[in-house]
Amino acid sequence: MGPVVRERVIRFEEVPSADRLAGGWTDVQEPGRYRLAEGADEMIFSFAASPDSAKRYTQPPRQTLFRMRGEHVEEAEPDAPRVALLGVRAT
Amino acid sequence: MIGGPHPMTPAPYRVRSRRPDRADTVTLTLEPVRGDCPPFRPGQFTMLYAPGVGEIAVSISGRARSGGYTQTIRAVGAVSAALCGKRPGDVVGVRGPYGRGWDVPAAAGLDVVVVAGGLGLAPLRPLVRALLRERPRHGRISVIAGSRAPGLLLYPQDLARWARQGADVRVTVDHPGHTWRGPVGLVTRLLDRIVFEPRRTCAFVCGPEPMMRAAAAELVRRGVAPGRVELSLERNMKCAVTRCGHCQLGPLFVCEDGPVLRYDRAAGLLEVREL
Ligand SMILES: Cc1cc2nc3c(=O)[nH]c(=O)nc-3n(C[C@H](O)[C@H](O)[C@H](O)COP(=O)(O)OP(=O)(O)OC[C@H]3O[C@@H](n4cnc5c(N)ncnc54)[C@H](O)[C@@H]3O)c2cc1C
Repeated sequence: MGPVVRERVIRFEEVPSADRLAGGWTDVQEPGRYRLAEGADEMIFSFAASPDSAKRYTQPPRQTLFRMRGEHVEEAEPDAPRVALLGVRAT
Repeated sequence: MIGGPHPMTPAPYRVRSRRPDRADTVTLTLEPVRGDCPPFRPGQFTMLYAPGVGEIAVSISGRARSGGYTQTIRAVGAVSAALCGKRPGDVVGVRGPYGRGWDVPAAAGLDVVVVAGGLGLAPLRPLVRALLRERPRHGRISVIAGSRAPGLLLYPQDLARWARQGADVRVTVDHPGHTWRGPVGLVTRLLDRIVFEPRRTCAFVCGPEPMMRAAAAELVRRGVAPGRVELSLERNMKCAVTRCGHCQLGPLFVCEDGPVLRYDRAAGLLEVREL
């Protein structure tokens, strides 16, 4: 997962290949305003917090805990795919 | 899984019996599909899961002769209504028991005043039973129960039995109708009618929060020590195991530090409005 430009926003999402990383792009943010902008160089991680967050992967908002059918309760295996998070921003 | 089941996984329990108490309230007896019901202390609660609908906190109102829990549920929304609709043979999920219950041993040697408003009688029922089982260890035992109307009074048979077993049982209603000849109005007014020695009294209170505040303040005004007044607080809960923070009240997690709290600890926090 890393910074990818989609719909003129730097999102934090699955990176299909290294050349899709947001190299050369930055963002300009103010209260109530977000604009994608060309960066001065080929920096890949030159952006502020995106609308997405690494927390979605470290603490998934939804998780199946168990399934119950009649008197049978079955615990769900945690759904924890192996992911690499690139360019995580502290906010 | 290592370390036993996940703390959020319920155990399947079967509805053994269902007793309608009022138009919107039923008492279910629940028995584990496998194994025994874990022991509980009066004032504790479980998380009851209506499959496919959701999970809510419900007090344990007693242990049935068969060993199961009895739990009294009022239909106020989706989950409570689904649970109220369960029939004997249906299966629900149960987690718990959870929480800090009433401090029954602290009542030894003291006069006891129990004040219940509406469904607040549910978590107090196992307490009164425990007190009456050891009747000689306590001073006077008084039970004050408030109800909106005479026909809505919870557990009338229990109240009658407790009176026969030596408790001073008083009932007051908000709307008397035509046939009611007993007291009308707030439970706090009945504190005038019962006999207790304030400096040697402990009190257990459960009901709507304004009623608990009024009852506790009145007991303290009469000289009962704030540390001997216990209240059971209801805060919306999700996990019941101190993970989610839904029930947080100031520095306390009501699911673990409560639901029963001493008034000297709870008084300042009750002013904090629920978010
Ligand atoms: C420790 C503890 C013990 C409890 N013991 C019992 C018990 O023994 N029996 C029991 O029936 N309930 C008990 N409750 C309350 C019960 O958990 C709630 O009624 C339940 O969460 C409502 O869920 P729902 O999905 O049915 O309704 P929701 O959809 O969550 O709520 C429906 C509507 O009802 C209102 N509502 C929610 N709770 C209450 C309430 N308690 N009184 C009045 N209106 C309410 C909501 O504000 C909302 O407007 C207890 C709660 C706690 C925290």
